[in-house]
Amino acid sequence: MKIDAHLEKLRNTESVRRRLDPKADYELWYWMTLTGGTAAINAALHSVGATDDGDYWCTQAPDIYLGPGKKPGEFTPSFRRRADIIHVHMPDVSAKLPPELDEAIRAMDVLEEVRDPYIRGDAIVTQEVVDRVDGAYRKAVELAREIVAKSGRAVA
Amino acid sequence: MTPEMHQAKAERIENSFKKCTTADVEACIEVAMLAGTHWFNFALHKMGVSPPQKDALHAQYMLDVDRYRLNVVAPDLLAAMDEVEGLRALHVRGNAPGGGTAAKRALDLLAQLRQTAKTARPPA
Repeated sequence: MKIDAHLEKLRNTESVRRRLDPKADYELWYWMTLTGGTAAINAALHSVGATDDGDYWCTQAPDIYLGPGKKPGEFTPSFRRRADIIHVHMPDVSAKLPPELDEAIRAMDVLEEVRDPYIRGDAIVTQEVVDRVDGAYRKAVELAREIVAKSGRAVA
Repeated sequence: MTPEMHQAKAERIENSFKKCTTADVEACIEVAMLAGTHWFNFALHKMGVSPPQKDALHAQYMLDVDRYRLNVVAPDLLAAMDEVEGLRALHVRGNAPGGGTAAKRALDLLAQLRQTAKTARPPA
């Protein structure tokens, strides 16, 4: 997906994120954080040329992407490499990345580590978990925005 | 998790969603997936299709044999969950046209998953 579309996803999820209480609404707040952070990483990966920004979109199956079909409103799956990631490391990106992008991905790793126990499971959400997620997200998004801006693109 | 724990999680997520509107396309679809998956597991456990020790993460990640069993027991439940997952590719990870319609459809599917789950019973 194009960089501008990823940045729009980031703005949309940030808008929702701001309305939610990080602790009382943790599950949805976390999910908007994860979705927005991953969109920012996708934008950064495209801007350094590590992945392809074509108009095909991640399905839940790694390497299978949906794109426009032959008729309007139809979508066709295809097997692709080097396109958008679903999550960081899903799939792994083989290209050598600038250090700041590696750092942004490591920050997103923090979010991924705490996903299942609190979203799918019944682990108790603490302020420490909220702070870890929030700090890692802010770092990942800030780095990703800087990377995109360096490519000469305006970042809202 | 037990059905009661899934219900508590689903209702907590749905309560958070009250701060969103159908203009929040990504949130509508993701709340349908997040809360819907808890209702989905609630139903699977209540129907005896899977035990509380075996939660589904995504409907598409279930084994073929488990999808087949569920398709016999509650085809509408599986179809609703699959449709929610399909909306994610197009409108959360993608920017296909028709996001507003998809957002409303996702909320309808969530209501359907909730209703099916709440009436789920073990086989006779």
